[in-house]
Amino acid sequence: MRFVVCFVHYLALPHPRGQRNNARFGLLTWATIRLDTDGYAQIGSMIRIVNIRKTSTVTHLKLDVNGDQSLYKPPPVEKFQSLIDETYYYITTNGKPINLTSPKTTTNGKTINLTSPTTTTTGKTINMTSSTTTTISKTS
Amino acid sequence: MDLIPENDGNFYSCEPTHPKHTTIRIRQLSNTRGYTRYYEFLIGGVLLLTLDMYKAVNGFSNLYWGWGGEDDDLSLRLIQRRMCVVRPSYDSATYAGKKTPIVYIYS
Repeated sequence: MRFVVCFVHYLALPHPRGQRNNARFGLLTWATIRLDTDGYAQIGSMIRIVNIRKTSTVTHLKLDVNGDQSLYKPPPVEKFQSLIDETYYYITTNGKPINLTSPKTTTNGKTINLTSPTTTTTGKTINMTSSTTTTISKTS
Repeated sequence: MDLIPENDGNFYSCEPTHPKHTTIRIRQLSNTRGYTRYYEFLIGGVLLLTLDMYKAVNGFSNLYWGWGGEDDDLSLRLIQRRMCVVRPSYDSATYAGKKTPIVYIYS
């Protein structure tokens, strides 16, 4: 069966092209690395299908993409626990550890902001039980 | 929608085991140079796959904005998951349209 020519020709609707994304090449470099952490699974819970309309050729889906983030639930703290339960020896000068359970002072009068267990320039390691900020001042 | 199929034999139905890419040859409406066949890697334009296939590659990346790249990113995901893309016969998959691609997902 051969179709009449006018049936198989269609018109394209002209439209302006969107802004070209010049950052795409950098994103493509790591595309397979991000596969499990960047995609549908990360936003699926934030989307609701509001309406479905079927025609003979097309199914229209109306989505609420949650612009006000009312469906967003922050991940549990346990997800980040491994990030703060660590000692970073490589940022110290001599790596000698001491264990402290509360904010302490050093002898050099420096103020150090701690967001995770770390060591000071005097060789002391401060182990914090949770993420915190402390001021370390000189003692006489 | 900016790509219009020119042949009714180009069925818009999912293959049960493989994603199907149907935009093999595209003719720009405004010129007379005939059909252009794009690179083998390309899956932009019209791609048909089931929801399970879509979930298997974790869908599209959320980091792309503006024009370009998101289809190639999805293509890399399909390769990473060793999913073979099938295409209809060369003669039936012809399109007329503008350049900007759109991907349709059928489940």
